[in-house]
This record gives sequence, structure tokens and C-alpha cells, in this order.
Amino acid sequence: MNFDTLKEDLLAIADTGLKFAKNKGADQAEIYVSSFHNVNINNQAGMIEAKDGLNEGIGVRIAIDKKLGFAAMSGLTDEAVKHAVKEAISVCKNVKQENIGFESFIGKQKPGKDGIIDKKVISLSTEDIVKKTNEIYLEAKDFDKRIISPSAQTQIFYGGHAVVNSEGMSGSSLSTVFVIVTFITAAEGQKRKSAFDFKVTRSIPEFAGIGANAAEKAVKLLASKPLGFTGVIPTLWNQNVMSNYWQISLLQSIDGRQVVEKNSYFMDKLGDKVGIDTLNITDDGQLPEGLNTGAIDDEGAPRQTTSIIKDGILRSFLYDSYYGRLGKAKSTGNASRAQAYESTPVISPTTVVINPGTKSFDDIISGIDKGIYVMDSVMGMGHSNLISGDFSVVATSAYLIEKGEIVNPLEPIQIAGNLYKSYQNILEIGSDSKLLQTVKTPSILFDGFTVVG
Amino acid sequence: MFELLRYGLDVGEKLGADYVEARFDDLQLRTLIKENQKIKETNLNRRRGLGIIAYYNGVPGYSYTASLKRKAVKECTKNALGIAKASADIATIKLDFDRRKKTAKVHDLKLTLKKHPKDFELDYKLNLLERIEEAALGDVDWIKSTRALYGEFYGSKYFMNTDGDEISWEPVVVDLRINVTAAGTGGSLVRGTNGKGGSKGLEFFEEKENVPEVLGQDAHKWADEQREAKAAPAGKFRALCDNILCGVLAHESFGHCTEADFILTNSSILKDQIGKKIGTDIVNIFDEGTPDKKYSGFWLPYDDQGSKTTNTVLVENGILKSYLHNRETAKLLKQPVTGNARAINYRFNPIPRMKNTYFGPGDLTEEEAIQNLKEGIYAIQTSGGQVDPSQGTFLFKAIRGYWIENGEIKYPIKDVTIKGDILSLLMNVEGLTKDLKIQSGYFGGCGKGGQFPLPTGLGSPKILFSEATFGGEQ
Repeated sequence: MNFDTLKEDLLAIADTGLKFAKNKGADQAEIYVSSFHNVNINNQAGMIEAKDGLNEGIGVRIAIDKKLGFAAMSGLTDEAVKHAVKEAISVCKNVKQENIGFESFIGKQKPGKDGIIDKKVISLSTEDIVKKTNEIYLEAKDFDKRIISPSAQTQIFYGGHAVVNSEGMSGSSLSTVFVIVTFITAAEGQKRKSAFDFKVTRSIPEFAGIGANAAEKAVKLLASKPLGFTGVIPTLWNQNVMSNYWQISLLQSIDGRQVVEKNSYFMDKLGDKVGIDTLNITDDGQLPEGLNTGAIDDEGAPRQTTSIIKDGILRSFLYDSYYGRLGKAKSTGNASRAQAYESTPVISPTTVVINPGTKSFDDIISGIDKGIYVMDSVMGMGHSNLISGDFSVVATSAYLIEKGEIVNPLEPIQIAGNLYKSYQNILEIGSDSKLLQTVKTPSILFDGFTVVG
Repeated sequence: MFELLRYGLDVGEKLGADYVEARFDDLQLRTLIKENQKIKETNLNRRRGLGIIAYYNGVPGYSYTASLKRKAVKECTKNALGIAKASADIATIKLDFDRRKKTAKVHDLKLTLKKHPKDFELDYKLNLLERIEEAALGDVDWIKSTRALYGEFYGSKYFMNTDGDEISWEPVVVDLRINVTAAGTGGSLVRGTNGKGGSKGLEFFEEKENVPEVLGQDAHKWADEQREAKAAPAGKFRALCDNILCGVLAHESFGHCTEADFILTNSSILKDQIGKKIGTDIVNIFDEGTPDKKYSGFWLPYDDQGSKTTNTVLVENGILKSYLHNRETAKLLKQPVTGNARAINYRFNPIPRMKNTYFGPGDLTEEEAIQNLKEGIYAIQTSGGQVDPSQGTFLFKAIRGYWIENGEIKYPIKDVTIKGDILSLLMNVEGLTKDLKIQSGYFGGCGKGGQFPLPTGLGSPKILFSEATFGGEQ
């Protein structure tokens, strides 16, 4: 399909599906169609895995007497549309039990705005991208002779989706996305250290620097020493590792489904002070550069900007229409389908933006007498206790900070603390915001965590 | 279908490709989920499309399409070759391989099942969920929530290449699972989980150890036990790990390190270790395509390069014997092809992935293993974890377990982290039980290279370790 007419083309196919569903006796129907051109290149230590293709298909939700059915099929042919509709109806008719939370699909609403659409991304051929990926790879490989396993991956997709339903909703959204990931292993004697870096954007990124940056991080880690200390000291977490930290500490607990089902720590804390005064967090579905920004979400509701924490006070949760209804709140435009047309909508953040502070990374370091710099990743964050908030992770790429300077890399150390109390223990919010897949965050300096190493 | 694939091969050869493969998948996936006795999901997903790999100067390029029109196949083949040509100038590891002398013509290969899921209505499957959930709930007031899942996956796969292989076969998997969350003493939440799956017909859930009532009751029993469980002590202990936890260790912490692409790219701790002693004498590890029917592994007769799968001996008497290969890595590393080139669907090129990876059994009973443990932790089941094949390090969470003293079960313990590096752990294997179990399923599965979830089987007996590292929790 031509990108310039993609919205109209997708809407036309979705309309055909809706008419067919009505003809087949479906009371309520929702047709989701998507078409994304994908390119994936992976240059792993000189072994290249490269592919492209068009991932398109249709996902149909049908409701008959509050019984719900979903069916999907790859392809946007007439056959695929009819197959998905017929199967979804057949599922509905076989289900004996009503879905109590369901009332109807969403009604017509004014859409938000699409994010940045960069047609230069579309103009790149897969061959061009193979060559660009190699530049990143070579930069990492040639950085130092101790690099034993350099890799560079690029992933590009562009296209869009359309949603129409029996309640009069009809909308579509387009995007262009470019992701670069480098993962590097360096070795010296028996010691092996890994590091990564990545860049996410909706346009053509700057390629220079990303390979060398990750390579430098891996090589530096080879000089790691044991910490030989146990105690509570400030820990400075960079953007990459904060992305994971927000994911576990915040995003799971502000998910409207978890709130409705009473699995969220934050469920009864709206209006409460949960963090320091300067903590301001929004879910910004309208951030122009955000990867999940768009005119509509995956059930057709407008993407919007939602304040989650304002001046340290918890303001809102994230909802789709289903859990919004159950939670007596409105959809916040956070319906998302994990595998596009293959999935039903679930609640998912767009880009969670943590408002930056004023101090640069270097200024924060220079104010630390003794502390730890936690870089890029930790192991075990996913096993945190989300009820109590207790966590214990192993930081494999951390540095010792002494007298305002980064001193040396550390052998793996353990860091333990409490996720929820930590928002009150933030000492500094950096000014160095970085855009990641679902978070835009600066580095954060925490107090109150126990470090063992 | 072979005719359309043949067309792709012809186009590729005409355009100058050295070798071409064409694959077609038509796979149906059904997911049914009930939560707290309410229907949550009734999803059906059909993935149909084809993919072409073209090789040029020892480098592959891949392209795919959901369209079955000749025009789309032609375009797809052209793209694949274009990618291969662009990559060929750059790639420093060439992935060439020898043409196959003996080719296979196998059509419609399938398992004989009494109750193929495609022949049964939704009702029948929803009933399985009702039964497992009801059994898990029992008649108590301490269960907070339940989640029951049924998944099935079946369809047909076609493969053709310019060597002359022509293979079609029908994969199938069914899976039934239950999760129970309960209120523990002191306000904490505890869980019980159980499930069975494999390349089986629905008659699998009529076998006495797999009926929904038994699966549900066990999850209930285990959750109940967790309510009073104590926190496990942290540190180094003698340990016994159950079949499921060890099966996951076999796959995650060991198996990935044997995948030849990781070897070639210096990403595995097992590089240059063939022929070396990496475990105690009693350690044997296999990766098999079609395990015996008495187990419930994933049935994989051919891989996605048309290679017949083998029972690959990875470790024999503690010595590393082989890696897991596709045709290219086998040639580069001068080892036999093992049939491990796998792709989850037409949108992915095949990469070295596991088949059914398992520890071979030993000669102990469970009682003997507990007696021999004397004092330490018996860790059971797992909710997952993290591994780094380049360093061989791992961290897994066991869901439950027991503290053992004087060779006897003392009391149940809460979920506990087991961590370390796989090579040390294999050197600590002191005994294995007789009861090998192999499982696969629809939920979970392997996620390498973004291809999640690929059905793979994993298995193990219970393993006694002279030492393992636990804990980190407060």
C-alpha cells in the first residue's frame, strides 16, 4: 500500500469488514486493521541477519448480547476480512457467559494528533539500512581490541492502523519508527563485561557515536573491583536503568486494570503525596517524538496527555474504555494491542515523561561524597515484590563515586530498597532526559537503598 | 501450495541467487482465559503467509508476505536477494553450506491423535477451564483470585528449497494452566500454579495425572501450603531442584549457551569447550526433536531449513559433545547438522533454537534424593528469570519449596531466588532422580530474537546439587 493513501485505504478495508459483520447479524462490531512495513537488521560479530516484509492483517471484535469474541488473520484480502469476521461471530455464539464489564465499543470522538512522520524513513531501502547498521557495527568493533562480540541492530517500521466500529467511531493513525540497539561484550583474560546503548526515534537518527559509546562502556567495566562495603549510600541511576525502574515501580501500579482488580499499590492513593515536591510525571500520548504517539489509540480513543504525578501528588491512573467503565473513570487513550491486529486491546502507557530537573549529570556526581553510579541495567528488577515494594537487584555495571568523582567500575553489587518509599527519597532529578521505548526520563539520584558488595 | 513455493525458488534462481528456500505457514492459535470464573479472552488468531530466503556469496537475505499472489511472491524473492547482496559485501562471517546430497519428499506428516483440537467445539475447551478453576478454588475463603488458561496451536507448514527438499507437516500443541493467588498469613500474597501441555490431542487431559480436577487441586494444595511458609534462608546450601525448575535451567541457562550462533559470535561461555569436562560424570543433556510419546514434549520432525531433527547429545558423562546447529553453523564448526533452525512464523527467518532440551535421568528416587540432601533447600517450580549466555550467569525464582533437615522435609518455604553460573552448577551435580519429565506448551516458550513464544520442550529429573546460591530477599 502507498503510504500517502494508507489512512484512506485502511479505513476502506475496515468499513468493508464492518458492513460484512452487520450483514452476518453482529449487533456490535469493531474492526481493527493495520499495515506496517518492517525492516530488521542484526549485525552480530560480522554475521548478518537481515529481513524485511509487510506485516498486515485484521482483528475483529464482535459482541452479541454482551458475549465477546475476537478473531484475527494475517493479510488484508477480502478473504482475510471475511474469515476474521465469521470466526469472531462463531466464537460469540459459542460462548455461554456474558462479559460483565462490557457495555459497548467506544463512540465517535475528536482524535488527537499524530506524532512526527518522517518520510525519509520510508525512502530508505533495506539495502541502505544494512549499510548504515554496518557503520554502527564497525564503530563498535574498531573501538578497542578487547571487544570480542560487537553487535548492532536496527529496526524500522512505518505504516498505520485504522479502527471502525458499530458505534460510529472511525479513525486512523500513522507512524514512522527507527530503533538502534548495540550490545557489546569485551574480554580481558577470563573477565567478560557487557554493555549496551540504544536510540529510539521517529525520524532518521544520528548514527555516529552510538557504537563507540557502548564499546567504551564495556571496555571500562573490565577494570572492575570489588566494592568491599555494606551500607546505605546515595545511588545515581542513569536513564537506561531508570526506564526499567519506572516500569516496575510505577507503570504496573498505575495501570487501570490493576487498580480495578485491586492489585495496585497506588489504588487507594489518588490525591496522596507519593513523592518529592519536584516529581512531575505525565503519560504523554501527544509527545511529537514519542514512539506510541498518535491521533487515536488501538480502540479509536484519542491519544492524550495525562498527568500521573503532579508536585509529588498522585493524580490519575491510565485506562482504556473497558477498565475506565469499571473504574468509574474515562479512557485516557491508553488502549494498545501488543501484536497489532493479532491482539485485543490492553492498557499500556504511551510515553511516560518524567519532568527533568536543573542539574546536569556531572553536577550531580560532583555533589556526591560517597555513592554508587548504577549504569544501564540491573538483574532481578522484575522479581520485585509489588505488594510491599521491596526489591533486591544485582547491578552488573556499576561504578563507585567518591568525593564528587566516578572512581572505578565495580564487580556485581546488590542493591535493595523499597520502590514506593524511594519516590520520597529522591535527592536529585537530572536535566539529562532521554527518550526510550515507553519512558522519557532523566537520571535520578536516590537515597535510602542498601548496597552490598 | 508447493507450486507457489516452487515459483519463488524459480524466480530466485533466475535472478542469480546461489540457493533459495521458500516456506509457507498456516497456523491457528487459540487462547482462552478465565479469571475469577469469568471469561476474559476468547481469541483466535490465524497466521498465514510465506517467507523466502535467498543466499548470495554465503550470505542470506529474508523477506516475507501475507499475500499469496504470485506478484507478491516475486517481489518478496527480489527483496530477499537484494538484502543478501547488500549484506554479502559486508558480512565477515559467511554462512555457506554444502548442498544436500539426499533430499526429502515428505508430505502431510502428522501425529495420530484421538482428539485433535481442531475437531472440538469451543464448549469442550471452555469446560476444561471451568473444571480446572473449580478444582483450584475448592470450598475455602482464602483464595483471592484465579486465572485459568487454555491454549492450542495447530496448522500446516510447507518447506521447499533449491536442493530439492519438499516437506509439509502439521505441528500441534495443547496447554491447560491454572494460577491461584491467595492471602497468606501476615497479609502477604502467595500463589499456586500448575499446568500441563504438549504435542497431544485433547485426550491428554483425560489421563489421570492430567485431568483438570487433579491439576486444579494440586495448585490449590500448593497455594495453601504457601500461606504458612517461612522465608527461605539466604546463602549457599546443598540443594534439590524439581523437574520443572531443572528443565528451565536446562533450556535457559545451559541450552542457549549451546546455540551455535552464540558460539560463532563469541556470545557464549561454551565457546571452545567441546570435548571438555563441564559437569560431573553423571550429567547428560540432550536436545531431541521427537521425544518418546510417553513424555509431553513438542513434536518437531523437521526444522525450518528442511533438516530432519536428531536427538542431539549435548553433554555425555559431563563432557560437552555438541552445539545446536543450522546448516551453516554446522559447516563452519565442522559438526553434524542437528535440525535446530527454527522460525516461529512466516515473519521470521530461522535461527538456531532448541527443540526439546532435557537432563537425562539418574537412579535415585525422590525419597533417596531428600535423604542424600541431608540439609538444604528443595526448590520447586519457577516463575522465570534472567540469563546471560556470554557469562553463563543466571537468576531464577523458584515458586515454592521446602527446608530439609536430617534428610527430611521440615517446613515449606516461600519463593526463593536461585542464582549463579551454569558451569559451576553442573560441576555440583551430585545425583539425579529416575523420573524424567519433558513438557512443552502454548503459554510461555522461548523468546530468542524477538520470536516469542516459540514452542520448545524442556525437561529433567530432580537434581541434587552439592551447593547452590539462594536468596537476596529480605
